[in-house]
Amino acid sequence: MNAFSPAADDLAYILAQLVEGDLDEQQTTALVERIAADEAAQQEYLRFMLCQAMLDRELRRSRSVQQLRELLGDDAPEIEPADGRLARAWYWVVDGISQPLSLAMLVSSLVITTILLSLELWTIPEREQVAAGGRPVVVAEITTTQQAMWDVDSEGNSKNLELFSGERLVLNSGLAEVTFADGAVVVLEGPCEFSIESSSAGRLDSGSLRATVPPAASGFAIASPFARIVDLGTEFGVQVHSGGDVDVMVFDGKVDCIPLPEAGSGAARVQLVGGQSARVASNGQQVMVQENGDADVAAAWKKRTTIQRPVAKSSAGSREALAELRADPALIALFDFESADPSTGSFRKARGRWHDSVAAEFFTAGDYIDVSVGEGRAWPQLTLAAWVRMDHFSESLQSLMHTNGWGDESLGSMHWMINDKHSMRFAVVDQTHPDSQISLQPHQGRWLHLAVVYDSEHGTTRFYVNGELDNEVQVAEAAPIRLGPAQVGNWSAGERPLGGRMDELVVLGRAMSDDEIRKMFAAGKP
Amino acid sequence: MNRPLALFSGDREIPSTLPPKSETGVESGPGEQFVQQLIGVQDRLYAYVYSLLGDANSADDVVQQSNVVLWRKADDFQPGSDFGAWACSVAYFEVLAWRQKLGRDRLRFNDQLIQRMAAQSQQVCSQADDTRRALRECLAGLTDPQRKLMELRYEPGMTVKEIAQQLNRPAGSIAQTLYRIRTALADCVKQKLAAEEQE
Repeated sequence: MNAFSPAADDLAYILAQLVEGDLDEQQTTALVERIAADEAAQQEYLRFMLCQAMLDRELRRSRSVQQLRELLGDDAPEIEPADGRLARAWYWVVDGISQPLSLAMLVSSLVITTILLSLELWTIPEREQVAAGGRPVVVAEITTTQQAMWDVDSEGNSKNLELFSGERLVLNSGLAEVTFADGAVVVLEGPCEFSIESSSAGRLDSGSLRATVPPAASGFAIASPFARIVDLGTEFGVQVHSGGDVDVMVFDGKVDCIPLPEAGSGAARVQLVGGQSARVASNGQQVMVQENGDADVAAAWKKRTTIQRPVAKSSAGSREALAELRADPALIALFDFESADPSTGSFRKARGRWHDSVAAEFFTAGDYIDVSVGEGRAWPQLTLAAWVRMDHFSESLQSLMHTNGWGDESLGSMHWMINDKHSMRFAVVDQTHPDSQISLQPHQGRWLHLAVVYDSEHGTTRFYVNGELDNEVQVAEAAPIRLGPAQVGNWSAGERPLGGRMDELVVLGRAMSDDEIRKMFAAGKP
Repeated sequence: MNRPLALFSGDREIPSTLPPKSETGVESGPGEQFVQQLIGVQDRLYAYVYSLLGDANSADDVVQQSNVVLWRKADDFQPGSDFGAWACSVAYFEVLAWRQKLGRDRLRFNDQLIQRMAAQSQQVCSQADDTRRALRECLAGLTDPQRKLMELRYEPGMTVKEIAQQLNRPAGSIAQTLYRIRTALADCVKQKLAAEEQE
């Protein structure tokens, strides 16, 4: 064996491949299994990774340096090391021991960095848009179009087309709405050329667009030939003219307009607020800011890029169905997350199935919603239904709704969840725990209507996905359900965080029929 | 439900706003001692996060976010206790949140394994300073072509394919060389640290 042919099981060599990003999915799985099973391998892995991390620290140029350089401009503290090597500003700040930086400067830098980070002025790099094994990850989707005519290269584009990092869209005419995974929505106005950079960034090479960025997606960026526009929670338009000039118009909120070096050394970063517009000229001139943009131009731009969508019909149908449900005497609770409701907890309000609707997003491992419903009596029949968008599947159980009584083994306590096989489970204390059949994983990132109908009198648990019966399981000695304090999206007694969004959670004290479930789905289908 | 939006993760809610400004408009933040400790723990923090995610870019982002959270939670730190351990415990929740948010990481450790690895990594990464010092010596021991290749690899945006084109060599050969340099450096560091322990 020569130096170029290491043993296939040489852990250090495999780890070097991992660090270089060269392991495929199967090899990565094998490595993880090996680490999980062997304590010595765990130690070797950790020591190897510690060494590689320090190698990174020695040789790599941190992104935060570039942010500081780019964003602070002349205000940036001196961060070039004395020997003229490429600096890693943050790390040089961190490695202040070897640098003549004052502590005040360090504090100042850290505060500045903190501010920049808080504003999320970075984007997820392209490399991260590729999963293990080089499989691309969906980072955006064409959510709707209007009279869209695509160029030859983009033929076949249509609504619901999933988009990957690096994909290029050439729209000859019409409108196309692209929704990014982080929540930002961009309406492209043909003719234009646009590329997907990541889940939080795109690039406009020609033509115009309007971007609407919810607070959760703050930091969303649009690159263009001569400027990068970074959102600070707003709605804005960008137009790239044929000569390369870039116009930015802020309809609402605030953006940072960062001229790129190609725009000339004199160009400086500007921050624009609602009503302002700016032009970054391609001839090396300064950015020209118009304090009070033409309101008519702004209104026309917004109108031009507003897609007429069948929202009214769809959301109206959903609202009608919910109104009917609210009148159902068996209704125990209905959470639509639209307005004030009695639940508390830690979660985000995010976009629901419609542009004008709100859903609960369980964003971090510790998110949850506390509810207390249906306490003080037994429920022989129970229907639970919700619109759920699973953004993350794991090997762990994920709570849809868990009553708190399970830990005390209270008779009738129930847990409705996504199980480790990524289907539904409805478990009741001291009973078997039936599962639905189909895996929901292929529908990751899409809204699904999930429902379970439990009937202790008939001893059945029926699961529904998108209005269709998926599975019926007979349950021996089925007991009535006891509700009361419960958590949605997590479990108070353990970590079962839900990785996604939920809307229109219905808790009904009777068994809905197949037809009723189907109608509920049809009325709320996006 | 009029609650402030939570930014990122953590074991509890993090306000979406920056620390309040004082009346003078100057950021009121942690003291100099805290800043020094935060600066001093960066290597350890990065190594810890990197070992749990297995990916430099992700680790970079999570460490940056962890710094923000540490800054905001400065008052929670008990003076006299292990700052590095505290910082790692905060970063651990950021790692979990990162996994949750993106739904993936390079390694895909399951929840039980990442918990176990996190505990061990805290111990191993407490040797970050010694490891970095040993690594500098080992880097100095590389041949010029080896060192230049590694420096090239760490240039922003430089891929193995691009290096191969620049050097007019097959990409596979460049990759193999990089693997060998990385394993050689790891071995060198291991030997140096073991020798120091014996002294």
